[in-house]
Amino acid sequence: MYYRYIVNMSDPQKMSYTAAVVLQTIHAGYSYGFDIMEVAGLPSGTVYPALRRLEQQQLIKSKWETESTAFADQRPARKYYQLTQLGKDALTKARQRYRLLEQLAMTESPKHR
Amino acid sequence: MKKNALKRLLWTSTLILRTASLLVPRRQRSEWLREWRAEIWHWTYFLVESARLSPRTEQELIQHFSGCFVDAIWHRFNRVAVLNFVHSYPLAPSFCLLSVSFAILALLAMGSPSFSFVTSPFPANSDSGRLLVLSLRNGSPWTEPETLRSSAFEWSRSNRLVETTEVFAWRPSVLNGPSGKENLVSARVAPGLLHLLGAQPILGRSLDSTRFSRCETCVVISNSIWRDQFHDDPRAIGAALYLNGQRFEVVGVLPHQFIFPGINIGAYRLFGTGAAPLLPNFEWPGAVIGIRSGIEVGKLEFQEYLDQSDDLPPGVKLDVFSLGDLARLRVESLAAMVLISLLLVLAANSRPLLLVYSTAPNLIGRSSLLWWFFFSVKTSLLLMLPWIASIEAVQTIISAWGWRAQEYVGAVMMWLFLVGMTLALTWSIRDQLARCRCCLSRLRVQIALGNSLGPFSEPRGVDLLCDEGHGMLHVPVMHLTSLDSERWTPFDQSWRDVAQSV
Repeated sequence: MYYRYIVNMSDPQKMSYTAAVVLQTIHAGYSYGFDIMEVAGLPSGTVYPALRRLEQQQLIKSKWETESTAFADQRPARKYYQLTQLGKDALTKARQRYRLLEQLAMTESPKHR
Repeated sequence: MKKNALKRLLWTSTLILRTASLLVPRRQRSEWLREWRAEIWHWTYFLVESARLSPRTEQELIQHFSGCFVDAIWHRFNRVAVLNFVHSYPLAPSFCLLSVSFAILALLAMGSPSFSFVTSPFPANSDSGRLLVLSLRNGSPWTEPETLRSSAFEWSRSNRLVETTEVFAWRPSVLNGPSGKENLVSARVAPGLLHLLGAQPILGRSLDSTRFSRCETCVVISNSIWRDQFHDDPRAIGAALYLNGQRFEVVGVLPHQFIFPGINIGAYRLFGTGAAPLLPNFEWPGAVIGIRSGIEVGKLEFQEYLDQSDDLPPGVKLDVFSLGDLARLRVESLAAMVLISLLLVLAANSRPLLLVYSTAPNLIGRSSLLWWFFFSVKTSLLLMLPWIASIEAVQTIISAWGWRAQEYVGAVMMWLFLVGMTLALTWSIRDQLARCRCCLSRLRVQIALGNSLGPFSEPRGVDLLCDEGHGMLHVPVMHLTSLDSERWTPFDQSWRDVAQSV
């Protein structure tokens, strides 16, 4: 039973709403923790574990920005997340399950602070 | 001002982050900290730059950063790894849950009054083995405390066994203090009684003989009265209280661990020098006897001495208790109450209990042992909960309303205890009945049985299958006839592969 559950965790058809919202937000161009939380309206205790899980399932990948870029903007370096091909496929399937998902994060364009 | 707020916010956030980072495995910690520090930086400067930093937003932000604990836990306990582990060891979650429940209960119990009730020194005197308590025997004529005081004085002079005697007289009283009126038991005591019992005041001083002559209006109060009337205020010393309409000055507060043997006394004052009004069958005399050290004497020997003594008024008989007797009586009365309640609840749940027995694994072996071990541990832990809860509730009631509520407290405790026990036992039985008799996992797969022709054409009910294929529990829809009843059918090995592939 538990084995079946583990196998099903990465199945897009069984993807949780939170995971789908995070994927959609990243897809819309909001690519680091602060932005994702602000747009998704989810608390940090939900968003960060979701990001870890999605990264572990290889649906997203992360990359630290260079220190020089961050220094030029006078802020700490950010960790940017982006969808992998697997993540894009999963999001397409998740959209079929959660019909309103596509409307999320589409009303405003991403901006960097 | 704003600079201070910003500094405080950054300091608190960093502290939360640092604490949570201890949960993150060391090799991932620096990257984890880096990402969360960036998070703190963004939110903090966003608030500062947009001039939105206020106590409310500060609190919201701190709350937001508390999410780092969830993230840290995720790093420490990888979900997939945990599920893999659970798959390999299906009993592990139950074991962990039981261990955690036991730890929580143990912690609760250690801080609860029930624990301190059983473990507290009784009384605080380390030499309490040499103390005997005297009280009027049931059916004995009443005698005035002053008479007993004279008799006790004679014993300490004439009997070589007796080192010291201290007399007391207790009565129901009304106390009027800063927090209003309340009923309690007060006592007039001999100057050395509190010292003999090992009671050292936590505030002020005790009632001692050196101040005897000018201390007739002094009173030493118990910890609960201090809490009720003065809300733990140390300025209680020197404050005025009215005991039975007479004005007294508080000179000391006793520690909460101190329990007077056998009686819950709230206020102690000294025997006056003049004549006290006689209160037959309302003010009860008693004495504490200190046996000389180095002499082995039992309560029976002293009882014999008392029965033969002619120092007491005619017909007056005293009972002798050792402090051990009183402590044992207290534990026995508690145990009797628990046992009677348990028997009542068991009798009320006899049928479900019989079901647990009749559907239990038949063979004497690992499954059977596991089944009964799990059931007994779970039930014991659950039954401890109402016990602790009822005692805590009593403590809360007394703290909130003081000793004014004491006449209702016993009924509240008993009611809470009985209802709590019934609920705990019922839940435990139901939970046990719905578990696999082999692996103890919950039976989730249900198969409805029967047809639409009615209950008498074919037995109707539900079959519950174990996920691991260990067996099947048949639960009839009704018990009107003896044709059908709950039964557990164990499956052989071949069913396990089938069940796991479902």
